[in-house]
Amino acid sequence: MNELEKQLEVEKERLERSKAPEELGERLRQALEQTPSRRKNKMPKWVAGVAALLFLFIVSYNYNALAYYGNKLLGYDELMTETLAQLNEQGSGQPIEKKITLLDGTELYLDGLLTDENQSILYYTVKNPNGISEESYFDSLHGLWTKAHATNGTYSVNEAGTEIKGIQAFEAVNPFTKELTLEYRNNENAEQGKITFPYNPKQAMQTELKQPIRKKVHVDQGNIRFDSITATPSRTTIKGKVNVDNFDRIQLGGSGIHLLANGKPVDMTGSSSKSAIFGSSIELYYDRLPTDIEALEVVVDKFVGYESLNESILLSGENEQTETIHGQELIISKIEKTTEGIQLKIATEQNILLDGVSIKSKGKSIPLHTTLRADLVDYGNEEPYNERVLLFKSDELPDTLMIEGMHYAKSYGKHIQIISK
Amino acid sequence: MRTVKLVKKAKKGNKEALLQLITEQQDAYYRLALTYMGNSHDAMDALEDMIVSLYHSIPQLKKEESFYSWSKTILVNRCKKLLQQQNKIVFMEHPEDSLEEPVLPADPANYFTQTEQRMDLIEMLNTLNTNQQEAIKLKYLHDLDLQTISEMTNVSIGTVKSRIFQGLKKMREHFGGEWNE
Repeated sequence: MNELEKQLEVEKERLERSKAPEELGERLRQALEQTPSRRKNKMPKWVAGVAALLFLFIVSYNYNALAYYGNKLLGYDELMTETLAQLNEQGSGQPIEKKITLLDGTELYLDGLLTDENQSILYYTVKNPNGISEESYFDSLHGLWTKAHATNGTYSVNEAGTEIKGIQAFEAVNPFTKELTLEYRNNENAEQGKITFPYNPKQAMQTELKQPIRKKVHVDQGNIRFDSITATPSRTTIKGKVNVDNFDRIQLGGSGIHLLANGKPVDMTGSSSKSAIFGSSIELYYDRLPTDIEALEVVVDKFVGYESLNESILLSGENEQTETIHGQELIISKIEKTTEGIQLKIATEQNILLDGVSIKSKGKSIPLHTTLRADLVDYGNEEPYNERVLLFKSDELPDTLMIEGMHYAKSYGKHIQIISK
Repeated sequence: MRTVKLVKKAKKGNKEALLQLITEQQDAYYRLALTYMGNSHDAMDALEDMIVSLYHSIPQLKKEESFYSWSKTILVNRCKKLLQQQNKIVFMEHPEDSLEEPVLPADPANYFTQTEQRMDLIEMLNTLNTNQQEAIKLKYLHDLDLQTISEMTNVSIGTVKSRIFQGLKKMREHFGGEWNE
């Protein structure tokens, strides 16, 4: 170490002796406490939208222990989807009316349970006059031949921060179980426990339609197999398998698959997929089906596809060069020489992944080395674009960009009839 | 691993967890803010800004384990913004400002030589351009790695390296013999 570095070391030690003032902790705490809470919402976006709208109109009251009134739940209006609200209005589901007191004095009320073949929905209230940590979690419901994991949930906190009203969905429970046990966690997982309550399977809502589909749809790099549809009052579920090589190359998933009842689309509420050795199993969730169905069909509107391009693009070297390939916009916003190599900033719609990218300079082709980063950037379009920085091991500015192909959201427009007129 | 756990909680909106993360390195944060802002009052303002900004943007943090370098980057950005608003020039222009809390010498006999050398060092740092100064301070006084510095200053690692190298070189050249080995 030379003298200069020694001096820097001394200065560092001197700086290290200056400690944060004692009041700092308090000031940070206050700053944080004054910030409005981020509201957690695991439900799809439109649910939040509906909830927000309702929130504007409905003043939230602090109901006491009584949550059921003539078999109807009260106080959940702002959280419920239209379908759930209708079911509640009809008095579906069963009251639980169990209360336990947690170690920190928080009271947990299990108000009601709504079950059918697709899912189980728990309505609960958490109260603590000294404030709630906003952290009570439910893991699963257990019972005879039943282990139903928690799937999604939403809740709202009252203004004083002393009460939470929440809806938590679980997988379906077995119709033979007469008793259910809920596993919960509280206080940053320090407290874990179980509550058992009676369950009456007869009060589960009847399945409205259950039918095998057994149809395959071929797409560019494989096929989608639709196995079955199960429609219950709370949800409609379509199960199937996806055996498509590039299924996870773009974010689209199953969101481009629609369900049409009597020619009208049924709202999609979510989807899930699990990958396994022979393709992924996929579940698509839609809202409740309308009554009197004359026609029901699944439409594979958009799904991942692959297009061979073998496109070469002359790089002008200008800032922001826009190209259209196969009807898709491609924005090359920066070409830069760095110590690591040539960096190319390129933006496309989110559901596009370029394949086999290389650059050419003076006739020499250099393949893509790695993608340094990817961000969503607003390019003034409806949706933000996916902008990535590509790195090529080269020290010469390229004159051409080569693209072999792309994975993209392709319009297939294939129909499968489930019920036809 | 504890950090990752706390970050996950903070991501879910747990303010206490976020506070704990900051408290665990509060001296390091404070020193970093102090280097930019020059006085304790403004440094604490910047830290307040930082924690609010962290609370809102933490759900976007992908890698939990890089919480500290990420949050320090945010702090540096807040500091720069505040300085811009105050129309101040980056880094302490007046080295005596930072002497507001005199540190008692461990060895009184050495004290004056040390103070003198320190003034020299600060004078030398002041001959560099702000980018070089910043890079050297972040590396040598705050012990940050090149990757983090490059994120904080929004330039490539290569640029950071070159700024540090050029800065040190200039300091040595300027002050000639006595600073060489």
